[in-house]
Amino acid sequence: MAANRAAPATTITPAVEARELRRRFAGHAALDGVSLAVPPGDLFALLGPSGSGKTTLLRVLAGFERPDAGELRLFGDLVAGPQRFIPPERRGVGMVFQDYALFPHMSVDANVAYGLPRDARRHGEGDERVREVLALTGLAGLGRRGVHELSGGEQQRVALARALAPRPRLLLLDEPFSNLDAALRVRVRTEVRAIVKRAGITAVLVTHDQEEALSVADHVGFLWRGRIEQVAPPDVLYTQPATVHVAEAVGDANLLRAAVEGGHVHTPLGRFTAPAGATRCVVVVRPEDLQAEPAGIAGVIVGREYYGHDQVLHVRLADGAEVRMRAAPHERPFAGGPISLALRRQPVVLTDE
Amino acid sequence: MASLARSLGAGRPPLALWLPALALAAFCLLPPLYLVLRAAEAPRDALAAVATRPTFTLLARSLALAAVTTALALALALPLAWLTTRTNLPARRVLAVLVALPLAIPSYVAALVAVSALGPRGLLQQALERWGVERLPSIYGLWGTAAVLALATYPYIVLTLRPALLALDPRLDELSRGFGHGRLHTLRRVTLPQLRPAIASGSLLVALYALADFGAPSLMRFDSFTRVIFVRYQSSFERTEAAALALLLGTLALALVAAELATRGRTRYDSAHGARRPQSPANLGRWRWPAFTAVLAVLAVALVLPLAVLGYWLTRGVADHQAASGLAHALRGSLAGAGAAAFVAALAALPVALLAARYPRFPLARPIELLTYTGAALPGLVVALALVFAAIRVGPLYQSFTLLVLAYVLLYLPQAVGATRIALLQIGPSLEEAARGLGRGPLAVLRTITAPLAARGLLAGAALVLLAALKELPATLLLSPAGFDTLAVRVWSASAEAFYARAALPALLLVALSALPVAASQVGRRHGR
Repeated sequence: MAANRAAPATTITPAVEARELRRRFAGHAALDGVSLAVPPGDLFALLGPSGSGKTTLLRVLAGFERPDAGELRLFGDLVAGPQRFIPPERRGVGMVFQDYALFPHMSVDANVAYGLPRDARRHGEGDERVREVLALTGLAGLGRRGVHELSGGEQQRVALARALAPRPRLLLLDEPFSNLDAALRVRVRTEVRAIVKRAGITAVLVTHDQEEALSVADHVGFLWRGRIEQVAPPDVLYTQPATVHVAEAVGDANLLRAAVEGGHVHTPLGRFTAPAGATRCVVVVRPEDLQAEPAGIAGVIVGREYYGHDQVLHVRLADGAEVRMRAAPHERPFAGGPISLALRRQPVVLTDE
Repeated sequence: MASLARSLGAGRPPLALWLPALALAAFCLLPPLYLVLRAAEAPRDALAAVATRPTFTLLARSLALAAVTTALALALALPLAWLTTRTNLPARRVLAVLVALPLAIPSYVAALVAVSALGPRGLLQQALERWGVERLPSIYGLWGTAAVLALATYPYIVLTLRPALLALDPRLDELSRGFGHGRLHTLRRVTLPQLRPAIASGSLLVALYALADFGAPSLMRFDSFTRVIFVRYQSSFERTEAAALALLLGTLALALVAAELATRGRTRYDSAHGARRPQSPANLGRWRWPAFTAVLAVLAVALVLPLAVLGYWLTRGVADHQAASGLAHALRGSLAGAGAAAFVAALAALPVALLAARYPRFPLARPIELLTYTGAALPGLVVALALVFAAIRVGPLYQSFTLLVLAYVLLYLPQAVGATRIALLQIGPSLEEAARGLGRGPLAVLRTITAPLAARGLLAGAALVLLAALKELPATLLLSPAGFDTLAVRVWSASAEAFYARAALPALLLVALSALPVAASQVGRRHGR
């Protein structure tokens, strides 16, 4: 199932190694046997719809939840297993919460210093480390402020600075950008990626926003109903989805379903080779995989969504099926007009579940 | 420490948290258990004491007092609640606060006012003497006691009714009127059924108060359960009887509390779905000023009269140099007892509130919280009596300051638990998790994050306990060490001996102190939390 096309070399100890993790809440399986390996230094995104178990998985990594079964190792150390559970304060893991969870009764400085060892807090070294991470996160000079006096983006960076200050081995980020407005979000996530990379730390980020996952992460793990369906670099996840759920959830796709006949599937867009053993298949055609082609398949334009950087045309084919194709922004198709189209590249053919 | 941290991470409360909470819950269960034991010691005597004709008369009298008080309080509260929430009554917002303030007058102060103003040789009779009026109709007995209690307790119904009235969806009324039903039909079939849970809940609170109250029946010479129990207790050879009667009264009170909880469980304040239009207040039309006058009249009797009468006695006391005699001693006693109780209750509430707020899925959390309410559900006299019986056994605790403080804690613990729990619920759990994730153990997190952030709630809870304990009468009467005096006891003994001038200043002090939280909650409500 999990087509891990970018599997890390097995000789390196993974930063995170999960084996068959399970966690149930009131009869519902939030984690239904999750296995996962995150290479050290990676920025790894856990992507999935709400309720897929991604936040539970993150909380298990942090130690806020204990798995019912399975094993979890961080940098080779067993931190959760049938006989063992290391509490969050002894895992060396930093966490950035969705609501930031800044301590409201403390200044920025005190928030950031909170996780430093006692000796460092007592003596001068702590102050230096606080200044260092505040500079790293672009907050230099704001240390004296109360956390209520900061903007949303600044609070977000304080949360990040606080998590980074004790030099954790692993940084966890729970939907860290969801409380920011759209314009700020894009900028902040680029900054956060830069900060994490500069700190040279392994990070796991939870998000339900596919664009966020694809644009920020080195690898993306796709979760569906408590199971990992695919782990891959963003481009592989998008161009070679391993399951229908991935194809549907990551990016826009035309899903053409058909029965297998003699090892092939016949669709309005042509005949494709079916995977071995499949009886029904789904052909995944991205809108940008289609292009206008005078000698192509005939259809009628029935609608269009204009986005500016491009546009999506709704085309009804001869047999009544409708597909979406991407077109350049300056093209001016007219509704009801004829068009003929062709595939730019071979589509992915998946076994239908 | 490792196992403590381990269980916290697993979402189960650490032993260091639930064990103290459980111990406290067990302690709360001691008084009723001890009453049962004491009655079971001489079951025949106890049964003989209870299963007699006088007991049934007593039961009937107490229930009658509860019923009449509730009926009178309802008659006052229903119109007052409606007028001050849903109409264009003049000065509605100010009146809404004032109408709740009689809660600040302890029942024995209200009774003192009634007796000293309207009783034999009271102010009214003295004023009328020059016209040859030698006797007024007696205010003692059922009706007088019920009237005093109703004036002191009707705000309970107003306060429970108010949110329900505010939550009424005007669309439902309009719908009914639109179907061609008249105003009265609409009131009976649509409006009142929506208010019924709130009315039931408030009425049960009043009934419970009337049943459990000691001060008013004692001063108004009405032989209710509490008065008879106290008299029996004082004549020391009838103590088994006192225990048996207290057990009966306690059972009755618990039944009422259970009924109240049951109705509250069904009350829903936000019943309507969909967007709700802001309600337009009912136009009273030409009844606007008559209604205003009627509300003022109630306030005059429930609020102004007591203050005026106390003020009169105060000036008389000042003239006779009696006003402040022994007051400093009583004030010190009050503050020492209530202050110690507030401190202990706030500390004791913390594990219970933490358990309820942070580990609601822990199977013991709910039972523990409910058990800490036992003391508050029982009449103060019953709890005090149980502690006396228990302490006589143990010896050194009897008539000790410690025992008195324990009684206050038992009686008012839920106020501290409630305030602390709300404060904890307002601290997002992610703050504590963030602190754990930053490498601090559970106890360090409690000290550096949870406690500072919940401090205001803890203080508020302690303040509520302080004010309630200041007013407490029967427990103080029964449990005070020799030579110990409080404001409440002073008011009571001075009133019982008709030294009203001595009672005035401590009574006014108590009213002023009690008015603080009532007024604060009312003003807080208006600023829409």
